[in-house]
Amino acid sequence: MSGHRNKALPRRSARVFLSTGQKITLALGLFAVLVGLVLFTTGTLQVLVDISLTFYGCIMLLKAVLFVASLQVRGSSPATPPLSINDPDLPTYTALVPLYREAQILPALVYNLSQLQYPKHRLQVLLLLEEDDTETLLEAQIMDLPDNFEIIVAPGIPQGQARMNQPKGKPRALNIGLARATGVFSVIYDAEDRPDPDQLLKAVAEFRKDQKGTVACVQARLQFWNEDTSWVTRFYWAEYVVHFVYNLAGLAKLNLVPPLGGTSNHFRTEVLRKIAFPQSEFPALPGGTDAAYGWDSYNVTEDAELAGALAMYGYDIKIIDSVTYEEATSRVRVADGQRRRWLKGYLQTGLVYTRQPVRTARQMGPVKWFCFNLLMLGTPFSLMLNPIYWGLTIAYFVTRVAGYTDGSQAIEQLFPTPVFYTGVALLLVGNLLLFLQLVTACLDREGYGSVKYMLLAPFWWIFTSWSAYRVLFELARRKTRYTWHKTEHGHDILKESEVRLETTRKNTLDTV
Amino acid sequence: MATATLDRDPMVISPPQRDKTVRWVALVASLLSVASFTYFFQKGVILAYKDGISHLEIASRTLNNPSGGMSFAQLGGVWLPLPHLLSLPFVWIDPLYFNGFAGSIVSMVAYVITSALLYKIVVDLTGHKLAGIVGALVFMLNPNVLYMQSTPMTELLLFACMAGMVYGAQRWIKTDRFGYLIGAGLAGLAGCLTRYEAWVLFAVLTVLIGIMGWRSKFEGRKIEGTVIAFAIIGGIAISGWMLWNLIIFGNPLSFQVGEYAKPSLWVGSGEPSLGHPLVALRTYTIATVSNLWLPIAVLAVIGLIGYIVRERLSAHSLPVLSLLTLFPFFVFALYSGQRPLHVEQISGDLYNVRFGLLMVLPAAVLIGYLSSLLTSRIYTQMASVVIIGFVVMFGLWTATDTSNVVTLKEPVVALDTSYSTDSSEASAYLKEHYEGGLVLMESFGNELVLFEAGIPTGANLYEGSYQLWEPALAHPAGSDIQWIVMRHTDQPDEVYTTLDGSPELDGYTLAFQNNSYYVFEEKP
Repeated sequence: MSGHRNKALPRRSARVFLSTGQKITLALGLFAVLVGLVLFTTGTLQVLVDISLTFYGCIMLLKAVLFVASLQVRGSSPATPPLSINDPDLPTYTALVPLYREAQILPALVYNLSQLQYPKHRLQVLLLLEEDDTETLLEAQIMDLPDNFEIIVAPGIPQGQARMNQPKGKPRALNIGLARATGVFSVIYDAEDRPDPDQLLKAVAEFRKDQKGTVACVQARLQFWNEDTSWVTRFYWAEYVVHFVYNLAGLAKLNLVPPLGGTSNHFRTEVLRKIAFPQSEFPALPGGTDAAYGWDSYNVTEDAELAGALAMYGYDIKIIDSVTYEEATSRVRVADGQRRRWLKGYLQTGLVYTRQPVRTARQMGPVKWFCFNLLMLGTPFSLMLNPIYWGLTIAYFVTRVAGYTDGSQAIEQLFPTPVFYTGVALLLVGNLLLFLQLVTACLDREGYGSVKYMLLAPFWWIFTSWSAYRVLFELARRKTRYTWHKTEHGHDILKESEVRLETTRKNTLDTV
Repeated sequence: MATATLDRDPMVISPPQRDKTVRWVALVASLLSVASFTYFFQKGVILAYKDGISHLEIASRTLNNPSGGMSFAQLGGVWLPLPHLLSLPFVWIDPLYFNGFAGSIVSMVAYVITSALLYKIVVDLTGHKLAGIVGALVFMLNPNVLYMQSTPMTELLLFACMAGMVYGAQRWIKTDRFGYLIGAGLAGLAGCLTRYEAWVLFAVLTVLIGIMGWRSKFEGRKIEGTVIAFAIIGGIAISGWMLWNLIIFGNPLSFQVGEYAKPSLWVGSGEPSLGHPLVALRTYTIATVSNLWLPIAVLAVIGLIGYIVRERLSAHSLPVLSLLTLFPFFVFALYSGQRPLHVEQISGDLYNVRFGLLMVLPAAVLIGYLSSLLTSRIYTQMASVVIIGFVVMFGLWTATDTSNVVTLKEPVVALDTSYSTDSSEASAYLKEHYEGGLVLMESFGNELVLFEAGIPTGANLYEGSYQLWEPALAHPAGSDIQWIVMRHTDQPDEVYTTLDGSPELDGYTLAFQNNSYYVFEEKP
């Protein structure tokens, strides 16, 4: 690997929520707004409206550009074909599979990973379990695992240690796994994942295409397979298509920073170790357990943070034409938790990469830095702003129709004519584009039955805004700041495993 | 499961080999567009249609009105808003507003787009570039089209949207690439925000999308998904417009039943077509032939026969046929009194005769198609030369005497009435004496006065001036009104009916009067 920006800023974790500089900036900003509201109420509100509309404009422009760029990807170059499994030069590979309370779907996982087309002697599968998850541990130990599977147990956190000092969860397990990975390349899979069987061969082919050695990660596309379980899964599914097929592909095409998905990202293992956090960022693991700190254990979207780190160190991320099928939650409560984790993680990541904005921007490249942070901070902020503008629009028309002209005139004052037109255009065009993206996603991936559900998009957007506001409360409370909302999986997988078992039995009987 | 690959990507809508001829078609259309605008501009007939001026005024009021602040409400609730919105970037520049170019530019761009799309529709149907050129030329060289594309009227924008809908639907069923369907839906969305005729075509195409899918043996859920997707995209415009009407005017159907929208405003009980289907049919047929020219109309009918016989109502052929559904729609609209249309042969005058111009789109495609039917290349070329010759002859015939351009003849005749003369006199007076201040004048029926007087829309208090109109009408002096203009014909305006003889006029002097107008000026 070529040495890329080895003198980069050291990575900083999200253990510190706000740096001193950020606290001062935030306090000064809030103070200025409060003073402004007291002394020049209308003027201050007008400035806030101007800022928020500029922000909306940037987000909309970025999404539109990404969408167009993603189409160019599809219209221009053919996907990299997978290598042959008989290629004698296939490198060693490590699959890191963090598991927590996944005993039920362990058999399905083992089956799915066994389907990967790769020489077994070159594929190391590390099942990363938690010491306190005795059920999964027991299930893994009694299962007849293939020879290339290993069980790694992350030590439990001694009782009495503050959660703050001892982060737990997927990134910590990955760090422990990384210390034991022997593969030239590493990939992460979640418990419910069903990667395309030739995904590893495609990933290696993509890495081989990289003559300059700057590509440190290739991301496979994630797609939910249970699209039609409920209206929630339909929206999850459509959003994933928009995220992976349009946004991430567009970001990669424009050589920007695609925030990685939580699974199916393939790395050059050496790079992960090279850009690892200094050990001092995290407390020592119990029992002197080894770890290589590739992922931020304090960040609940450690994958997105890692994408920023790779960019900061001068590495590129590519998207490959391979799919990993996942299970979308069908329950609103679970979806809310997952959404909160994503949004919270994005905020954490954005705050980390804006601690030293000038230096980070210089190192990452100003455009990359701006777009990355626009997505990280802009995604949750736009969800928080949306209800305010919807509310203003409704309030304006209600007061106008009802004859409470003082109300409608007060709102009018916030929008001088040019600002008003900009705002209306952004409101109409922005929402229309987002809606069209969802419909397009349904047609694009043959989710025809989901098209009509997209009419419920406004309710879905309200739901996501609700989650975004809950994130604010979580971040404000030290106790919940690093809470990882685990997404429950497995019901549909179990049903399918049973069906598969029955089919196998039937086939066996038929053969006999 | 589907994955994205280059050769079978449903989203990629670019054809494998780009047809560069379409660029030449667009270039020629652009040159024709500029040339015809210049020609009609020199003749002084760009703004011959009163409606053209109204469109400009609506756009201008959106930016410049006495209410100030938010003024999207100025878009009103009768005419659909897209043409006005598209002219906003130009309408604030006074010279472009007053010479009409701010509205004409929208029509001109739409003309070029329609020409290119018609070429592509025919080439896609026939595989013959020459046929595509013939089809495009039938449209491009039609003098009525050339005149209408020079005006701020909304027909050309509608044509572009209709052509977009048809092309998108046709390519979708041919390639099974849904990107085209999205494109057709977006064209439908734009069309449904341009003119109400597009609502009809959009509804017809929605049904046809399902039939096309069924005839192409798509599975049921795919048909359902595509029909719903198409319907949703275009339906946003229709439902959005109804919501707009509800919010601004308190009735979602205000565009149909509102004070300034009732068909009874235009359709009198003595309309020849009203309640007489055969007269309605004959009226619309004459209007169509007047716009197309008889030889072109005959060729189109022959082309239609060839099209149906040859294509046997295949899925691929249905979108073009959808354009023809506007013919029975208009016949029904005339019969039921929803739309007025007069032709000289039946009513002795011309009114809305441009409605017949809609048939130029199917005519262009069908004649292009007809030229491709001759199997021998030499015969195709000969047929094309003959058809182009016809089209050019029609152009020359009308160019020698613009009264042969029926869409121009109608407003020119209308301008030659005593009312128009009165209106122009009132305008001329105001132009000479108006030096600023608010003008109280109803807009409906008086559009020409304000525009020709060169008074900015921001100085006119009219029936759409939110919360200002009623107080000004009740007490003009209290609203700082300096000028009051009222129409006192047999169809007097609201200013006249409210203020005539009222003591509220005591503070004003009658500065000008003729057979149609009174103009009052505030006493010093």
